Amino acid sequence: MTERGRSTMIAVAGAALFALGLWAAAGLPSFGHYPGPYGDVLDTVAPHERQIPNVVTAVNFDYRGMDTLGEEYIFFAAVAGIALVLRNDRKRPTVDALPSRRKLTGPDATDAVRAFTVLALAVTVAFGMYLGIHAAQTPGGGFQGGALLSGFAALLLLGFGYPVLRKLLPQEGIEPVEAVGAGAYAAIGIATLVASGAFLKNVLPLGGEGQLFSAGTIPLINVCVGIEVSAGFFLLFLEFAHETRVEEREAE
Amino acid sequence: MSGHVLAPLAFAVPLAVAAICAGIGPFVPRRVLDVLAFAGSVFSLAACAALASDAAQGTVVHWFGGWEPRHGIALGIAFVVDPVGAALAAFTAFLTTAAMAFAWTYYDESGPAFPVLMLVFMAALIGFFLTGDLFNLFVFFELMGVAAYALTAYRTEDQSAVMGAFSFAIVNSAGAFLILLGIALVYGRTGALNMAQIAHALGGHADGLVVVAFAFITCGLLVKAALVPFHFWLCDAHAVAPTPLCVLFSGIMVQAGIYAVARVYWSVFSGALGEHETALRGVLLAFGIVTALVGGIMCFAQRHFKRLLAFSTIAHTGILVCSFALFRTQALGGMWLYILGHGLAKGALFMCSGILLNRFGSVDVEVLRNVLRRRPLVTAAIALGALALAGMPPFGTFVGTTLIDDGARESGLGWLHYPLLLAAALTGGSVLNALGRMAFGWGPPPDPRAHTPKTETTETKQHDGFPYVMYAVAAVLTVASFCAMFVRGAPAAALGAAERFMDRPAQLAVVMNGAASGAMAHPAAPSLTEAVAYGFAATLLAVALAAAALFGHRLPDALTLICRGPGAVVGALRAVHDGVVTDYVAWLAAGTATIGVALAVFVR
Amino acid sequence: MIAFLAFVVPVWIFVIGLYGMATSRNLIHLILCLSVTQSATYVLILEVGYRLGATAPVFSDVLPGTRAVDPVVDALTLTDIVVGATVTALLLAFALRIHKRTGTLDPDALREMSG
Repeated sequence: MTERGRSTMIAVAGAALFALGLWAAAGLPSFGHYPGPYGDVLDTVAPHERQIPNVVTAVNFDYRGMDTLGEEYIFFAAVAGIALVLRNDRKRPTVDALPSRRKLTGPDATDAVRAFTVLALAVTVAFGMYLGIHAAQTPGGGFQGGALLSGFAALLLLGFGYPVLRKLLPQEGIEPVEAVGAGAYAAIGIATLVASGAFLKNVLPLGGEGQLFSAGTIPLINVCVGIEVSAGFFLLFLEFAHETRVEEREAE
Repeated sequence: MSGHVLAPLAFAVPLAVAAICAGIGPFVPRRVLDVLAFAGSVFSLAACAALASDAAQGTVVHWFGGWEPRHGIALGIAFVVDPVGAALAAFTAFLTTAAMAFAWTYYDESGPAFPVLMLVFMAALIGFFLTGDLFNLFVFFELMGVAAYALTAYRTEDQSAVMGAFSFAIVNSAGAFLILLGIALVYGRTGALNMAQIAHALGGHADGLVVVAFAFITCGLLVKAALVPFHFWLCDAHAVAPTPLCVLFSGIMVQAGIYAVARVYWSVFSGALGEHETALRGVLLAFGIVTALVGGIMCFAQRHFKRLLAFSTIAHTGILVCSFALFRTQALGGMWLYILGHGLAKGALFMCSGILLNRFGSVDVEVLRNVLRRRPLVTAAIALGALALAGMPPFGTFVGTTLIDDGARESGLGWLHYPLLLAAALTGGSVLNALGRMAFGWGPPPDPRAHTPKTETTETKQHDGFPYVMYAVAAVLTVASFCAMFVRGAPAAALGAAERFMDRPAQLAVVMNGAASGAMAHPAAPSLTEAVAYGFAATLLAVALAAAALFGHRLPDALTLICRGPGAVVGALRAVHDGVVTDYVAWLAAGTATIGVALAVFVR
Repeated sequence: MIAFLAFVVPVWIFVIGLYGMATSRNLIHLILCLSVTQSATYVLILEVGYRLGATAPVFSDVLPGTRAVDPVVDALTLTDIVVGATVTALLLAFALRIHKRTGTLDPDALREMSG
């Protein structure tokens, strides 16, 4: 299709979709007046039944734990795919449009940058782990904490360069960790199925509300998710960092 | 073990095995991973088969986390397993097992990614078929998608593989977001995500929100099902994806989209939209017939055997969407049988294309001229597959078509039989056409100006010795499709399953109130012997079309003038399929807008 | 009427994202437009669960039973974000690969499979 034809087609289709969307939205309850009932019921029962203040975490890991299991494996599959696409390329010598590369090093960083990076690393790791563990009590959780922890890899790359990143976060060590995180979630589900007849049923002791080890299996699943997400993001950074290393050389 | 326990296990065990494979991958030889993955898929197959027989006795409901509904409000997520879902899940596991067996000798060496992603893909499809929650459906849609995108790009050294995976990912993701918009609208209205609960809350009347939400969700699912004009990704992805994966794509993944459209309609929207069936039927039939014919015509224009098979899948999607659009028990029952029969035949044909790649290093029909001259096994397998696509008795497709035609006649739409017959004959004929060139060297010499597909870098290498496993698996699939007509009680079972599938009030009682649903009924099925004549008519037409393509160049020039017109149509169609991903997005938007506006206008 | 504008926003974002995707001349731009399209779904999901004058559904400082917004849409959005981020990462890896191979990121120039 010509560019003109394509633009016309999408403009017309877009206008029609916009009108359809507005027509549909006109049928929604007025903004700010959520009618329920799903959310209201959960807000009422969750804090008491699961001894957990953060109802969103309860929804994520208990009431709708299957969605989170699926989402974990989406992340897992995507990281496997990225590793596949970016790594296979390096194993086989290929004919590329870009000129071939020699052995590479990372960029040099000044002492000031290094010092600040060490500080930032400490804060990132501490806060990331804090956020990740307190899923039940605060608006945190495994995903949030894991994503924050992945900043660790980015900071290492910026402050100390790719060789240090590779040494501290060896790919061969991290891959099994990610697999353990993902597999453990499924395993917990199977174990609870065996124990109680319902997959992912919350069978561990519930503890008191507001305590760190409360709400049964929720913190356990949360830790699995946190491990998997941080390991997965580390792998992602490693793969993409290797590629950026190549690009930098080309720019010189 | 009861179905109650099997349902989550069928889904979770392959995932756990996938994680184990990924974890130990760098430390063990490749064959260990293959065996583990194979064991995982065999387990799922056994579990789903047992689940299917349980579901026939009564719909199985498993509430995750033990969260039973309270006062008509679902707190958690449920797997609602009726005979159709369980049967399709079992079929998925069967095809995956077959594909893994095929891949055993097909691939020399590859990383652990292949078995891991295949298991995740299979688990996602199984969950997709079993779930009774709308958002859960979306999550499995995305999971199945991500695994598929990654696997499509498996042969990373092939540039077109990565580009094909890219187009696939962009178009399917856009479709997924359409689904999510629809889910958000429905949730805003009803405050529920469980399908049965939503149906109850929507009531019996449809307004703008319901119509648009239905349109968005259906269009998003039809992207996966590769309906025209959402189908462009399929042609590209099939041509470049690894062969064992294509078996699954065309065998069950595309049909999962159609299953979901039927599921969402019958379990969620049939109450609210039930009075507008005629309007819905009109819109869907129009798109279905266009899809069937476009797919069939484009089949004939292909030299790349896998791309040819991809277009035939699109044509069959058109047939399936038409059968869904009839909204009749017979047509729905026929649709399930058609899916099974077609999946087996298409899987076998893709395996044959894999054998071609492995033995001869190409899937370009012109390059492969005469190579099958002294290879009766592969020739026979491809011929049988072509006849199955055309719908010849006794294949499963014939049984399905008979029931679908019955449904069409009951709706007063007996004429529907003819375009669908033409489409099936086109697909079967195009495979016979290709076979004629490969096995006997028939056909006109290739036009040097004609479009030449990129030569496919070989994904598989030939070994010494006969590849027993590959041939055996392809043979198993072909024979299974062949024997479909002889399975006593299959049509009756399909009809009973369809009745259960369409029964929305009963589902509400079973899912929300814990009532036990009775055993599946086995209503009387129409006689198959009467329809045999029709089945052979389709086959004859397919053979005639193939003969015209192979020997038409020998006719006097006057007759070939007649072909000028159709030739122009084919040329125009080929120009549209230009491989540019931005075009695909534009078509997606245009298709969704057209369906949405048509429904808005006609649903009054 | 003013409240209805809240729902116009996600519909507009979705449509403009699709427009950006269809008229894109660069694969990275295309991927980012897909992200824009996805953010429309976040906005709509969160909007349908919102309650004016209500607090977050975290009852560590307030008593359970206080008027709170819907926790389910928060959980759905969380899932949605993770899905979107991972698909974006995968697509970026594909784009990187394509660029290394062909030196271009223009969709019009990358017509691999046609006809």
